Amino acid sequence: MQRNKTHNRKKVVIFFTAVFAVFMVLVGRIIYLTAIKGDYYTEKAEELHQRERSIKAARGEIYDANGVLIATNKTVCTISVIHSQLTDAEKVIQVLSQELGMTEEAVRKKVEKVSSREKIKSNVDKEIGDRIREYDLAGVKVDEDFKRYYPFDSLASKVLGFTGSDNQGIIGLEVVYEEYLKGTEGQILTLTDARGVEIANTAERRIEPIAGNNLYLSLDVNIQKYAEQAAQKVLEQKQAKSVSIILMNPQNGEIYAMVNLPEFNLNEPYTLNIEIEENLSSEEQQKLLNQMWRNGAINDTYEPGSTFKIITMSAALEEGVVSLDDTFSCPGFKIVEDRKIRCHKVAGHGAETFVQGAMNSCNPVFIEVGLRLGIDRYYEYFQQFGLLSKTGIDLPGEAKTIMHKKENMGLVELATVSFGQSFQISPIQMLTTVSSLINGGNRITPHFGVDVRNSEGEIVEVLSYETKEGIISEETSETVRYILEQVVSAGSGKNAYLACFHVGGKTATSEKLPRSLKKYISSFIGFAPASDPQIIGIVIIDEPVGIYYGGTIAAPVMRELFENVLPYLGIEENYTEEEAKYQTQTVTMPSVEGLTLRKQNH
Amino acid sequence: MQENSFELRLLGEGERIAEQFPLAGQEVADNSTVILYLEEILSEDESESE
Repeated sequence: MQRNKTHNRKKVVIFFTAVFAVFMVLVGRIIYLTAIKGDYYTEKAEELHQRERSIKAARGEIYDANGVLIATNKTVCTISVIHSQLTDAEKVIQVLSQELGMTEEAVRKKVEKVSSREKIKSNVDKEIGDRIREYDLAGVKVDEDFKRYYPFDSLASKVLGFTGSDNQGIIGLEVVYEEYLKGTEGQILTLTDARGVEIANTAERRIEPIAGNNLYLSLDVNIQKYAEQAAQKVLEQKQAKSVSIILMNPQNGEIYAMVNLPEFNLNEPYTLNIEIEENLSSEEQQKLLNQMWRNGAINDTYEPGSTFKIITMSAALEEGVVSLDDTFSCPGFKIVEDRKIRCHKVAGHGAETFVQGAMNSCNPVFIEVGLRLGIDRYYEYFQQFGLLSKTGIDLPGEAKTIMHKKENMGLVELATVSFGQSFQISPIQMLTTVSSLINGGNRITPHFGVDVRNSEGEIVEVLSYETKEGIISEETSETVRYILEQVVSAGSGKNAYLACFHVGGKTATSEKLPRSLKKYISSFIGFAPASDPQIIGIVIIDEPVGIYYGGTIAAPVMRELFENVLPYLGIEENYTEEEAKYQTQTVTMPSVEGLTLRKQNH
Repeated sequence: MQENSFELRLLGEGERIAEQFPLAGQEVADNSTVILYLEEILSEDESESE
């Protein structure tokens, strides 16, 4: 009996000890969850009961060099429904389909879906959003946000770029300066029940968005418009595939204008600017859109032809392998190894000095000069001039120069490269390199972004760009400017001649590959004033119909641009005495195309 | 054309003017050189372009 009693007491002790232990574990757990992990679980609980809706931040605006607004925001609305709060679903479906231009079926599908919040349509015009709000429909929410708006529609479309539905930059400057422009999104916090459905009539907590900073560019709307008009005119006259124009300050790399026709409407970036066949697959349509958005001046390369003679000329003068009065003889070709490389003038230019060779754009002269430099030294200059790297322009997708590898370069390749054939370069690289050779020898970085300012107009950051000094000497640079002025005043570039502004430049006509297609690229690089260049430009006409010589069709475009842009930039006319003596009136050129010689004489 | 002091340069052969430079409508000096490309245009090699 005594033994049995002792045994029971032991059991009771063990039981209560176990209960106590469990109790202590629970107490410990409660202390852990409340005192130590309290904040964490409070946050979790709030998250469970709160529903977040983001409020788009106003994206920073973009201004041109004169403070003209070129990219801004338009207030738009997002229409959504909260299923649990709907009282008259049929009326909601009827009103929304009517106001939003959607089919009743499409609206019904979304309205009848049981979800905490269902978006019906975004980027709805504010006027439509306001009208929907006036119906005061239970369960229908109209939230205001922003949509990017470009006041000039297609102006500089491939430069500015555009944003997607989430207001994020997709191409162009909108992508590169995303961090400055995007701002910080705000939030609307609402309470939800256990099912995650918003509780009606509870107060919303708002975290206000912070607007993005504004970007100021070197691009000048007036110059850009003027360049676009000039490009459009020559595009139509020459029925060309595309026309690109870049105008830049060669001293610091600030770009005034960049045109790539055909441009597209930035406010409707998904609408193709060409007629397309019906039933085009979405993949094919996307391919066409990508092509339409492509900035040829940056993203594509071309065979530069004779404008590249500026590079050969600069390297040879700097290296001292040629001087201005060196004489050459052009029989119309030059034999290099086993190849007979022709000059464009089959009969030959005969005896000529180096300057005359440049004025005539004589291929054998530049082949000879290139051979004098040799592969090793020429290649060193490619690197020194920055031709083998990207320019670092503040636009995405810059194409690199496609040049022969040094180890694969023989004398024939050296010869063809010397007059601009057998390799590919981007227009912006070509223009930047020539800028650096005529500005005194400073390799500049081409750019659009100048500074970033907050909404009060205070400068947040002045954007800076790399400059590499001394890629050639000031003396060589001056000599190159002199030669290129001779090219325009009396050589192959004379169609760009402006008596009062002393233009320098070089023409080019390159045959596209495969050569058998007989398709050409006509181009001209010009700068002014030749003694102290303040503007440099490149005109590229892709696949012109009819006459295709750069000196004939591209140089006049530059002449017309300079004639208008130089006075606009405040660059004064500067006639020499000789020019002043022959200063004449200007007249409008009459049209004589289609006439016969006899008729036109009468 | 003759009312102005344009200097005319004819390139090619034939009677009909296929193209002209400077282009119609452009403002030019009244003593400019005007290039008229005739119907049968010379090849690049025979012309004086680059």
